[in-house]
Amino acid sequence: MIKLRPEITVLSPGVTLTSVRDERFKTGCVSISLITPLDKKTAALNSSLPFVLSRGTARHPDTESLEAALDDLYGARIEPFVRKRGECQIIGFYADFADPAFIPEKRILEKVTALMGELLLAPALYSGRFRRDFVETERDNLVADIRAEINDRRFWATGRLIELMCAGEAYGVPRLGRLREAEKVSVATLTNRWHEVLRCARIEIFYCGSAPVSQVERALKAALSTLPVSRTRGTPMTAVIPEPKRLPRLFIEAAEVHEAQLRVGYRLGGMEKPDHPALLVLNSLLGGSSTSRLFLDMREKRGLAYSVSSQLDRQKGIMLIAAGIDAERYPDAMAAIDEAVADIQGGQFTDEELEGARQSVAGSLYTVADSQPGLESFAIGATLMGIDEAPEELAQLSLLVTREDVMDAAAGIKKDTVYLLREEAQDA
Amino acid sequence: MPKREYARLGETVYYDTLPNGLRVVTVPRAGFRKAAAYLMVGCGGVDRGDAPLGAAHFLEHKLFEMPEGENALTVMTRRGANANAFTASDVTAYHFISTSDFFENLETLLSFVNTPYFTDESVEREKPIIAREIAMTDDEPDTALYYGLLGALFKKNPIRDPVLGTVGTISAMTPADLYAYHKKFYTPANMILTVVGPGERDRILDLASRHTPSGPSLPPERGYGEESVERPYRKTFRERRDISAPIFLTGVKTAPAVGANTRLELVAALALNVLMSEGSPLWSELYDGGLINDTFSFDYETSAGVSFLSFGGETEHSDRVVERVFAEAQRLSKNGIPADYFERCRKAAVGDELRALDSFDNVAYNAALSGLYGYDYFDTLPTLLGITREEVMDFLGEYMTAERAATAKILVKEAV
Repeated sequence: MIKLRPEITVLSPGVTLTSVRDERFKTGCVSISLITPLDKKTAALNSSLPFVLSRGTARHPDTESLEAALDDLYGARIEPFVRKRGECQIIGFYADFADPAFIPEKRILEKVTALMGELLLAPALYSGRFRRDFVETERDNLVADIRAEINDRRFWATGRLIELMCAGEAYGVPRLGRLREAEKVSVATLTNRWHEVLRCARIEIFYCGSAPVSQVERALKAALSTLPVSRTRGTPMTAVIPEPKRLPRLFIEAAEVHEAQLRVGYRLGGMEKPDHPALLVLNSLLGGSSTSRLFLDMREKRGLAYSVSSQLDRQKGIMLIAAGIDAERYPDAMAAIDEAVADIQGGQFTDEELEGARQSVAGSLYTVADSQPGLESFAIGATLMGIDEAPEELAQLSLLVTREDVMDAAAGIKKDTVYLLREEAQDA
Repeated sequence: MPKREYARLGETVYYDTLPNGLRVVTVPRAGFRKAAAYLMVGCGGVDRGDAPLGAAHFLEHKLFEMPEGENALTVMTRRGANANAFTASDVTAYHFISTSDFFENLETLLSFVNTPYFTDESVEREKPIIAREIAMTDDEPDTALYYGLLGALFKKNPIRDPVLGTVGTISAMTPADLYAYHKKFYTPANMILTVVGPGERDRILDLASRHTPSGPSLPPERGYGEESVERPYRKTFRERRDISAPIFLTGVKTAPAVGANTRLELVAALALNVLMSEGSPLWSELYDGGLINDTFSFDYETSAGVSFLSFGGETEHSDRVVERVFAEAQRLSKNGIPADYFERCRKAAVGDELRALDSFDNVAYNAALSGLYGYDYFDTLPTLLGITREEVMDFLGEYMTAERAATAKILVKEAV
């Protein structure tokens, strides 16, 4: 069994490289993440940035030229991304490329990282600012993307719950930002934002592949040689609200849907020293798999839902339960959910259910250790949540979680907000 | 040949066929904790038997229930495996990825798929669940668009009918329907087992032969009638929905990429990339002109004896996009594809294949699908390297014309 120990190097203050040397894959991956505070004033600008940067560099001034360079590197991909983790908005690029063992190009790592550096630091500019056509197209795309979120009813319902439950908190800001700020993205404001982000964002770089750390470090230092050195790259914090500020509220909204979408949001209590294995097992037990309490009860036993699940945000200290239901059966569905949560809190679950949840969590974590995108995503979460353990170690800890651990982790769960998206009621 | 070495890929693959007709493919991968297995059956939404529409999918749901009252999905998930199943138009697959207890999970997989057990109670209980699933897919604009296109392209081929069935058809399902369906289609000769990760081939073959019916078996007759390739059944499909922007999907039938013709699938994929991938001049023209956005995509699909390409996305200008796509295809076909551009597209395709080989799920799935269809998934790379520029130009010239195309659109329903 390969024991993968990531090597962590500080390239400059606030710029860290995590390298995992692994020769089992036919590809390698590099991601560069710029971690900024999630804030409604900057969210839309931040989410436009990687896409505008991807439109062209000084050396490859348009898509055709850039794609030609990537295709020449055996279809290497460099994809822009915008992620939301707790109250951090993380923007950047994820690259994957064939391993030199399988292709004639032996310097692929150096060439791909050089391109990534150019995208970030040497984009195509006009008079020192982003090109107007790039900014306007990507602004229009962002506006279209935000408007399109309503098309996926399940996704939309989750977003609405978060906005309503966390109104006034940074967490209530959507991943892509809000429509009103997106419509105002301009050449001047976006260019300024770019300069600020390069100076102030905490930067996390991740590599997984067959190259030794020294080679990876050299390649990245060369690629990012013009990155400003800054002493103000702090990691943004996420404010945890341990308890709901008021009694639970119910919001009902209407849309053309065949299936009503029910969302229930909870606060988890204080998260000063979270027991991550216990929280993961708790979530699996409640609604994290097809053997979870919610799945077996609401779907298999009572036919109340086809799709029902729970998820946690361990940075923010909240839990969300989602179910697609028949709107007429909302009272039954809500009662079933309340019962499931109360049962977990009260230790009303069998040893078999607990063991199943432990195995399920361990299995997921071991799978993460066997996948490059899995390792990359895990690494970012580990940095933000201060987790030192590798995925395999967390897996082993999950197998040891006890009934009492689960009940302790569940003790602080309190319902905060309920949201229901349904067809316009006939007698409205 | 039981063992094939693909030196270029660093893979060794074992091919076996049991006396009862079950095919088994083993792809050992050292150094990983995870393992993947697929048990794929040669039947799907297009295969009715004598059952109501939606039987293949209904059966897939119910097969997990075992006679002693256990549910195989629960058993496997409790061991930490990530198990699932899906019903496509022409195949049904039961699969899992696990990081422990592989052989226990494999045994469970083989047993439950080969142990049909349905009662009136369990069948009735499933109906509202599947009705909910149908409602969920009815809410997906992309699904409506896809079936809209299929209904326009194909007159008779059952690929045009929803795999899930309708609420009406599934309400008529009985245990007798499911038993008969299982008996007809779930014969060992109509199945393939693929394993990626573990290399204990003998143990895999032993489990497979102990948990599948003994005695020789035959695959069932499967035929879907003739379908014209030259013309779509109808030119258009239209619907209005409460969505944020209009979407379209245009399709063209091609000769079926089956049997001796599976190479056509790779030619088609390369041709579509040459024509309209992100690195193409056409893509830049359409994107920069605001005619397409990041939702623009294309695909090539083979199922139930037919093949078709499709392309589309979100845009207010679908007619113009379609016009430009066909015009550019004809131009490339007549004037030629620049040689260096063609080579770059091919290099990118090579990279895509290598990337896909890293996914255990993808390898297990493709090894199974290719086994059922009678071609070698692991030969993809050499085949790709042998495709010529002329083949791709001929493909574009022959198929990419407005006369052959049907277009489905979902327009925005104006607020009342």
